[in-house]
Amino acid sequence: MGSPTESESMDTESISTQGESIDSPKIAKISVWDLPDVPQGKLPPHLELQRTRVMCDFLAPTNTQNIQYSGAYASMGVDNSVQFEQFRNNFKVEVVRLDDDELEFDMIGIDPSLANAFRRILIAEVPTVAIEKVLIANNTSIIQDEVLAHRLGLIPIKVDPRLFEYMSENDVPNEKNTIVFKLHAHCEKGGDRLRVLSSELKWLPNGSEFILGTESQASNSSAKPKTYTSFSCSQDSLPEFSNGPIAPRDADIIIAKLGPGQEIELEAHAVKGMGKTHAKWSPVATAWYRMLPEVVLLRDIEDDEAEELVKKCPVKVFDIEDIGKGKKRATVARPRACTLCRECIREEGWDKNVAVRRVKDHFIFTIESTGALPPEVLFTEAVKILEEKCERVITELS
Amino acid sequence: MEHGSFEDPSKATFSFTDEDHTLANAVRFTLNQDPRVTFCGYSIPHPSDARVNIRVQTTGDPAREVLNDSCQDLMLICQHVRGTFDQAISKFKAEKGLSPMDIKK
Repeated sequence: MGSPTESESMDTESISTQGESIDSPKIAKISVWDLPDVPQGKLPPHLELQRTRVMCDFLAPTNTQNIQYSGAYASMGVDNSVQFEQFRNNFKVEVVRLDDDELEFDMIGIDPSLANAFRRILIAEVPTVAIEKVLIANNTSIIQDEVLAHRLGLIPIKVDPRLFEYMSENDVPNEKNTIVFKLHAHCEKGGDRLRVLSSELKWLPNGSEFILGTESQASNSSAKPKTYTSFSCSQDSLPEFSNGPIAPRDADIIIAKLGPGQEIELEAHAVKGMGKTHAKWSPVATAWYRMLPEVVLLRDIEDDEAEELVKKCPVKVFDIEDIGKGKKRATVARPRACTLCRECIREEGWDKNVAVRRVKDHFIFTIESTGALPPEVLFTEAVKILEEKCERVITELS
Repeated sequence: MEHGSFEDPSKATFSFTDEDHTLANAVRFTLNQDPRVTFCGYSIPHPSDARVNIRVQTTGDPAREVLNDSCQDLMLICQHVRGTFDQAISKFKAEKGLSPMDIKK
């Protein structure tokens, strides 16, 4: 920040002397930037508004772009760069709502490129555990094997993915990278139809119980027969899982419906993965943000007009206050509720009374977890992943 | 991987595999905030390839160093975001009288 550079001030001087006789020596030349209504070291109000707000005009939103370039306002002697110190002083987080699965918080003073990076990482790059392989021993239900396998894959599993390793292509399934579930449901002949729920997926801490096909020929009665997994120890002996069995997060998801005499017997192998491979590994149902709506009354709206304005808004952004002498005035009571439907400025002339805007660096961030990890942990993990990415680039550069 | 010239290290294109808009757009922001940068931008040459090219041109400093500094900045920002977020969460939980969530539940 500081005064404009030499060449620019000369330019502006020549503008300010326009229309005057050039060789009149009596008139002192003043730069327009030295005029009293031009703030020093700050942007003029109309540019500051354009920089920090999206105007939601009647026809279309304007000033939607973000000015990132540090020298964007250099000609006005304004530094547009964000130094880390400045960021640290301005950045704020305010939690609005937090429960088991949902988190809503305000992130203030951050650029959308970073907010969007966090959102993208939450959806596609925070790992979870999901069923990837299904070994079907018997399926006489009307649900085809592949549809059944797909449905199983989408069931959220309540387990901390940080305790597991990724399974690469040539890895053998072991207790560090695979969780095995068993499902055996049978509908009695002559009975009622049966619903198979996710609660019937039973965790097998010792790994697969299905014996490999190659094993039966070379039957060696003394050694333990080889199964589809090779666990070196039982998972429930590990301290991380001793507190309770691993199970689907929701017990009441319908996997299939069986008619009398039908049966499903299968084993499901869950592995760690990321949402960018398949949405079943996405730890969030959704993660999104919106910019804070800002509703401004450009002049006092009173009496009948105030009543009219309150009626216009379908989400009740406006209220009426009494200002005495039987007069009423409209106020903006709940700007956060505004959906920017612009109903309040639809009628002709009303855009002169009300301005609907969005604050460009204030994000209302919402995370809906599928249940494997609480939402606040998910966000912390997402930020850590972005840090790791930076670290990777730094090591690659040096 | 860096594509640049030996004569002029102030301009270079960096190519990163297994990265996308997530990192490139964030780094472009921090690069833009650096007054030494005259131009920066990124492109994904083909949507099927997990690759992103980041172009950096500077006023004279080596582009590699400027990009390095930008990544450092981004990391500092992330650390600060994480710290502030954790504080806000524990403050919220304390106010609501909630015990820390038991994820083993």
